[in-house]
Amino acid sequence: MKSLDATNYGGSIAPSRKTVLEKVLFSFKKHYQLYLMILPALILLIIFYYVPIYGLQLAFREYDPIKGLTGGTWVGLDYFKRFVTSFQFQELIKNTLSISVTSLVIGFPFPIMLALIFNTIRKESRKRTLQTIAYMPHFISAVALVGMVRVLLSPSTGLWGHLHVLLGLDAVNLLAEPSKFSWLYAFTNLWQNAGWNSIIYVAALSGVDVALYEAAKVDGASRFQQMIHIDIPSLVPTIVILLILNSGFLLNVGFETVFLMQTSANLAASEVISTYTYKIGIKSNQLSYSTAIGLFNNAINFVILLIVNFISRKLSDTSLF
Amino acid sequence: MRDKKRRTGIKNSTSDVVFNVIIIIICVLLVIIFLYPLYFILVASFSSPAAVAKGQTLLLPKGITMIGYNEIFSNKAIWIGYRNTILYTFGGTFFSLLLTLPAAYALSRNDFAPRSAFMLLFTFTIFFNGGLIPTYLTVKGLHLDNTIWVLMVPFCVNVFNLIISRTFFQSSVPKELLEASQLDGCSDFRFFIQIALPISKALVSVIGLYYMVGYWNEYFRALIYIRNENLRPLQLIIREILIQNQSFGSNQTFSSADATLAQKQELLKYGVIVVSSLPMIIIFPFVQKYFEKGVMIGSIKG
Amino acid sequence: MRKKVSLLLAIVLICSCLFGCSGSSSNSSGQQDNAPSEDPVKLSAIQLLTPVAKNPSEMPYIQQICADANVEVDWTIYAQENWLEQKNVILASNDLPDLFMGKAIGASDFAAYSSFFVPLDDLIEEHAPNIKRMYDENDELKIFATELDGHIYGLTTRKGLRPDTWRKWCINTTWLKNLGLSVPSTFDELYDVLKAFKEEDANGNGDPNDEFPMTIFYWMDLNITAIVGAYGNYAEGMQLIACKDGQFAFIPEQEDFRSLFTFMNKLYADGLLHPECVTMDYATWTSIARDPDNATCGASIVFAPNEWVGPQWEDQYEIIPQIAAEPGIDPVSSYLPYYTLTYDSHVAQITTKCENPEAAIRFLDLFYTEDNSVQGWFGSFGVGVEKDSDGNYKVIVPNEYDDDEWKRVNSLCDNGLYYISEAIEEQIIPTAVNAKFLEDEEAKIKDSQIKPEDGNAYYLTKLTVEETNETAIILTDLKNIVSVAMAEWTVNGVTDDSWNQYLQQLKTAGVDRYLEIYQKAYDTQVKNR
Repeated sequence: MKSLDATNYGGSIAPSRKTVLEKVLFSFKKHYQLYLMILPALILLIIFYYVPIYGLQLAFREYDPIKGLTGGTWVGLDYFKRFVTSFQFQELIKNTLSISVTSLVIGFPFPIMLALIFNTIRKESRKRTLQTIAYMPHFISAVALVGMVRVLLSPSTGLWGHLHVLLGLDAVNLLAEPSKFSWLYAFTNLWQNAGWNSIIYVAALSGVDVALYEAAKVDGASRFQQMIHIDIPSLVPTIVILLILNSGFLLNVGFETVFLMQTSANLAASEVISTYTYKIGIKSNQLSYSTAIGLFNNAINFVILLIVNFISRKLSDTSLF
Repeated sequence: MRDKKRRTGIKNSTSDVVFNVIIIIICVLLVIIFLYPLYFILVASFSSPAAVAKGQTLLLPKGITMIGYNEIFSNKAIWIGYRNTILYTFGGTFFSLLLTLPAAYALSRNDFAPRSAFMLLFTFTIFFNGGLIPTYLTVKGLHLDNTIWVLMVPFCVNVFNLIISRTFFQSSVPKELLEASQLDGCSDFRFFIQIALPISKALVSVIGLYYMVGYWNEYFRALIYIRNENLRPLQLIIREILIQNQSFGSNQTFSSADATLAQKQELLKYGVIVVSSLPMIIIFPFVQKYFEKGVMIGSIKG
Repeated sequence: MRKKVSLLLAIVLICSCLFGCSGSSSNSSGQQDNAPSEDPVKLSAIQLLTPVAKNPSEMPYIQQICADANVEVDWTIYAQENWLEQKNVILASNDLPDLFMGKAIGASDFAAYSSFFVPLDDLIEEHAPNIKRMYDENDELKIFATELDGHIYGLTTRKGLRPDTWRKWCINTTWLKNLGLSVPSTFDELYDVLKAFKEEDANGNGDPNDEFPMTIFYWMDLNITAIVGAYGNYAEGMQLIACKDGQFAFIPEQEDFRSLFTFMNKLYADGLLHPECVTMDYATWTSIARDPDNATCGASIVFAPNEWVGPQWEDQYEIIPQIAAEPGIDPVSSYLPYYTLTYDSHVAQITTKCENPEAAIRFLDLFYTEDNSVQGWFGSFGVGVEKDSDGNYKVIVPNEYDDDEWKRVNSLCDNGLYYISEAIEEQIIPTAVNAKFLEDEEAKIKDSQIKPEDGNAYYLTKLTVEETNETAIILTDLKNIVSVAMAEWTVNGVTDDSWNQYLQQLKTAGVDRYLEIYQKAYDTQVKNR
């Protein structure tokens, strides 16, 4: 979908060398209503998101409470250097990426599959019940979720243990294995959010014209083939956008669930940027340093997003911008 | 399957039968996988915490106790919390949709030249945030803190939802429809309200649901911006009931009282889920009927 | 006529004596300069409090304090965890109350925001006789309270009737009796006892297999370091640092630590240590011991037995003396009154926003009278504690409540202000449970405790902001290395290679720098005083 150049729209033959100002004015005149539709959201974002951005300065300054957020001495990239050369840096990045990539790989396809499955259910009441059941886990707090995971996965008293006893095997303590941590986190996350994340895909599928299915049936397509050739393509734009957006959160492994799942045994794999920052904050109050770490984190996320967006624009025609 | 045969008269092929069987098996598995842990939580919310931790409540409750629920409902603040959260949820969702949907529509229009620039502007804010303190100062500077508005207006636009909405508009509002209506002299605004929105019932209900749940679960902003006890939302009150002294900080003066509290907290953390999420779960089927199949007029490009 | 006049005079004299003398009886509040009898001064305070507590304005002893100081306090209460999120917002946005109380501002927060707080020395000297008395009587407490610039900014407290050791061995003595065993005093004896627990039916219910010999949880404060004293050298010093004869050492670097884990590995391999110890959290650790039907755990490292096993089984358990690694070694236990066990620092501060610091310090000072100190820990007179005619304080707890919980409902307790001197401690009659708990420590731990100078060294040393920040980062890294190693060694044993690699990691993370910072500060501040 190529964006139409404003100068060609409406079929008016405009001289190709319009100044930028004239282009802008033209666009404004033509689409002032669209501008107005964006305006409220834009104003809100400017006031509450762009105005506070001055606070990011803290990452480059030594925080002085008397002089406020912007008055401290300028130290440039010192805090970033400190973080990047810190003892745990490499491990933190490795763990954070490993956990979130695993989560993405495992967590991304499932909601799509769920949506496709829901879509095949004819009886609306059954479909509604199933969807509601799938969507309920989203409301479970991290504390309860991890508490439950710990109980169920206990090799001695949990479901996990009992299952192994039934099969005559020795149960492994999953919470003790660093190598299993990403998987543990990913599947827990999957269980909690698959149903919730499938909603958007179900909604997208609901827009598919029923006539297409009828036509396909007449052509002799099996239900499976209908799924492949009708359902999935209709989801592609949504899938691509969500994939791009998710890639922009790769360095953002949430704090609570990981922190609660940490144990001495798996710490080598479960210490991520957010938990590390938290632990430093217990014993010291380093606003500048934690702002710098946060900014570093976000900058990398944004760069990844731009890259993935670029690739997507070249490969498909869908992209964020 | 009987319906289908009667309706179309086309015979089911074997692959369809196999397909259906597989789907049924998968659905049964899904029900077990999703439902069992939820059942576990329900049972844990009124069983003895020690029994829960030792895996003695995998099937049936043990050491039944209603202390958890008593604790929750004896707290009068809970009802204030429910009231406030209902206000914030409906009010907030209203503002959210009011601001998000038109903007998303505008950005979905291919003929709208600056859309990429605006998208960048919007997306940027997901990643780069000035931080809690400057945001707090801004809100305070506008005297919005500690009012009912702070949880409904300043943060009502979620760019993630905006992007999803834009994608929907892009792929489900046919260009032909737009061009036809423009030839008829229909303004952008009128097109949006009279044509684009009605086609997008599914989108509106999904985004509406996303926003509603977001507001319903909100506690962090309330923690920071609300001091007035009467304005607290449900989740905040629940958090206060749920004494989280579990492994936070290393300066714990552990005593038997803390351990008893920790035990009670075990009980409560399951109970509060039931109490706080029930309304949202009940609402879901009502919202869901808007994204049933064939709800949309017009076709989607396959 | 003369008789009447002299009678009148006599009455007047007696009256003035009575009123004048009542101010100097040993018991009541120290004389304060007259609180002005105008309108009460309004003060705003942020107070950290455990959620079970009543609002301070509903606690009688606090109501009395406010009346006596002629202040009206607007309390904003926070639970510890909510406060962590809010703290920086309030501080950095300069949204300060007049007072911070309840340890809202700790040492590291103070270091980062020191310009927001008012030095209290002059105020104490002129308006706070009780606080002054505390610092006059107790030199070390004054050192504890004084910052690097020589001023006091945060008030300190002394609690009463507290243990001095953080974590101690605890064993099920009923099981020992059932099996005819005596309390173990060496690791070998411990091994044999644990083996008996495992193989025999220690809890007498007919099933020899439902007992867990030992459960320790391996998280957060790294409880295990409490028993490294078995080798007679280093006592748990919190944050893994021990001071021995004036020299700081990092406990996990010592050979003793390695030996300890060789022993733990032996226990693990022989099934005497609960296999999920390396992953269980605090809640699970307590839950396992609180089986409603039987006592199921044999031994652990605890703060107090009822913290671990709960009221149902606490009678079966006892604290036992520090176990020696081998016969012939005199084991050592920690001495940590300054780790909030008896003493606390930075409990309350006055901010620069306060317009009437004199009224504020007068208010804070009233918490430190003898009566108010006792009420501040146990609860108001008639509710948590009673004073009898001999001047003794009897602690009262209604039957349906746990000791600790009742205190916390009715007083500011851990988050309060008080100075319970040793003299006052003698006058307190604790509950039976509390008395036993203290007796246990007295009898069993006191002998092995290290010297106070060594025990207090870490806490009496003050660091600058930069040093605080640096050590916080190094400590986080060190703790991670140690945690991972502990779990690994318990399960798989210690080899020369893994030990050396581990030492190397500690060095890279900056353990030497950490010790250097503390040693230098200690040498300049404490040793040469």
